Amino acid sequence: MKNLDRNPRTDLIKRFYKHRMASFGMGMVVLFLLLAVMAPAISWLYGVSPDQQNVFNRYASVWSSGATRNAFSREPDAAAVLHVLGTDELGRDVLMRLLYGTQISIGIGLAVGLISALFGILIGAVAGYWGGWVDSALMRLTDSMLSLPIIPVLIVLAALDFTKVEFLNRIITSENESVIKMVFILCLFSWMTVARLVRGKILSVKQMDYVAAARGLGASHSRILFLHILPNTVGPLLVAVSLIIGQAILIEAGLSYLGLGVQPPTPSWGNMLFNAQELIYEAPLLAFFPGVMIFLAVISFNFIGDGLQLALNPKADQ
Amino acid sequence: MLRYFSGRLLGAVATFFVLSYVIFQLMALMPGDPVDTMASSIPNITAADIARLKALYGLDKPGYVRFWNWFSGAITGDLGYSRTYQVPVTQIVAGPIFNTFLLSICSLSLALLIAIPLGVFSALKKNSSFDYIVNFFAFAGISVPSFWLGIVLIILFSVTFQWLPAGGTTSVELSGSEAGSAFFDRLKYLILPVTSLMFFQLGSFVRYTRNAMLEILNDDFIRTARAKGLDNSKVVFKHALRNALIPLITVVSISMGFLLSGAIITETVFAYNGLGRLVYDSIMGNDFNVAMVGLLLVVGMVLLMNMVADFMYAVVDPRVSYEKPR
Repeated sequence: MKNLDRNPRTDLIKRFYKHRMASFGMGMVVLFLLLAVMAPAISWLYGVSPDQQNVFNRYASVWSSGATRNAFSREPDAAAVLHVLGTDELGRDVLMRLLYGTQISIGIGLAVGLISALFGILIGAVAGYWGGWVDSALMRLTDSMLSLPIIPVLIVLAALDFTKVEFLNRIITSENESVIKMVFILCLFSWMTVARLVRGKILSVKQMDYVAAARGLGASHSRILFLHILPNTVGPLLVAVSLIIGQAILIEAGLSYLGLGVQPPTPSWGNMLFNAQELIYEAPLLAFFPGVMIFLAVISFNFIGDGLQLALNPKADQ
Repeated sequence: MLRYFSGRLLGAVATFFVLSYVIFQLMALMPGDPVDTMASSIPNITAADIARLKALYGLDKPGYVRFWNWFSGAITGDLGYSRTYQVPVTQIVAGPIFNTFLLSICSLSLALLIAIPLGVFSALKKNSSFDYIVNFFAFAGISVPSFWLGIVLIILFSVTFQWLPAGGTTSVELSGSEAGSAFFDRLKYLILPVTSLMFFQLGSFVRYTRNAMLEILNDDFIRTARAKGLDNSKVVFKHALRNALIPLITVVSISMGFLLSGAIITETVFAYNGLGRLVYDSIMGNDFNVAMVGLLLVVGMVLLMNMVADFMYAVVDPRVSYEKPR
């Protein structure tokens, strides 16, 4: 009897959380989101801002305190603050920069995941539903973009002067320029897996009887597409998106490390590593913390993707 | 089959041509025009002189004409001069191509050597603690940023223990001139870059081998082989592993592309004199001719590898056919 009132969705969620690593990943992502949202509050409570420099207290060690001082006086301006993770080459608090970096790095990851999912759904749906030459043209494009070596192409795109392109000038301001640019170029190269997946699913679902029934009842194309076909793709779509988010965070970090991604003073985990390599003798830990954050974020999203995959195909796990 | 592959080849050549056009035009959007850069170091140059210089180098012409000028030169072997090194581009790229190739091949073969046994054994001992640990490290491998891994390795092995060089390709001065010491010198500089580049492939190969083995071990022909009374190791290594490795060929050829593009960041971390670092340095230094050729080499190698993957797949697995069904 018990089996009869089982809800497939709660089953799915149960199977997901049975996967220990997936629950860990989910917990970490929630934690990262909380940290990102609360970064300004923490900074206010703590009395340290991520951009506040202090040349008298560079490379402070972990768990040390230092007072901000005016360059011309010997007296400290304010009470000494505790630098939990020490300070960087400009005397900025590493912990605060990591927290604000969470906003940027996770934010870029989520934005890329969302936008490229929408774009991929659009391309995949158009190709799969209409078929014919539209399908072959779009899929040819998708395949050739999948076969490109991403990093060299992204390096070229990241090095471009986007102010030379007219229509981008309107949405870009000098403050957010590098962040918007990162989201834009990462989206350009992230939608392909989603498009292929949605197209494949549509091709198989299109032949189902219930779609024919809906069509027979006179449902419009968009109604069939959005109400009858696309809901079938949600599961695999979530898997693909969580992997895309992980990849986006990883590539953003790589480009920012090369100095082509998010530009200082805006902190991102990647650009905190930009200077760190030259400072490995003075402050090896400066190179350590941001990498740990990147690693934890990416592995969390990968765990979530894997957990979802297993929850969707319970047979694969047996 | 021949027809399929000649079609593929044509498609790849067309893709390459379109890509070189796109990359060429993108280069024009980069900050720093070569003549403007040159002119900025000459204080008393006039605007008319700059315009004349631009006309001399054909920089005043529309984009497609400039591309055609470059392309027609390139196919006759004239790839232009490097602005930074003041020598023809052909002289610069030869060494880095070999170095990058060496780095990628070493990473690839090492990753395969380690990943296949790990994947097989974790599939055989499914859900054991060994399996969990291997699985965790495979996840760590595909999630760790390779450049950060490189920095951590440098901190550990070069700064703390001082066992290995922190970067470079070879020692400037070799103590012995015999071939052996040159070889070991090379090796010493390869260990850290290869290790940091390898981890991503290692993770994905392990996961791949494990899943393929699990799938095949459930197949009917394995049950038949077991029922015949064949001993377990023969079933696993001869029947199952052989079949699991067939699709691995595709995975390996495709990851060659990932290696080449991942090598860009790794080579920058280790100041390794390869194609990737050449591309990065030339883009940063506005050395357009070198950047263009370096990028096209990487893109071309990746396209080639994708084709080799398809070809090998058909050769190794007779079930795969590229003929149109009649």
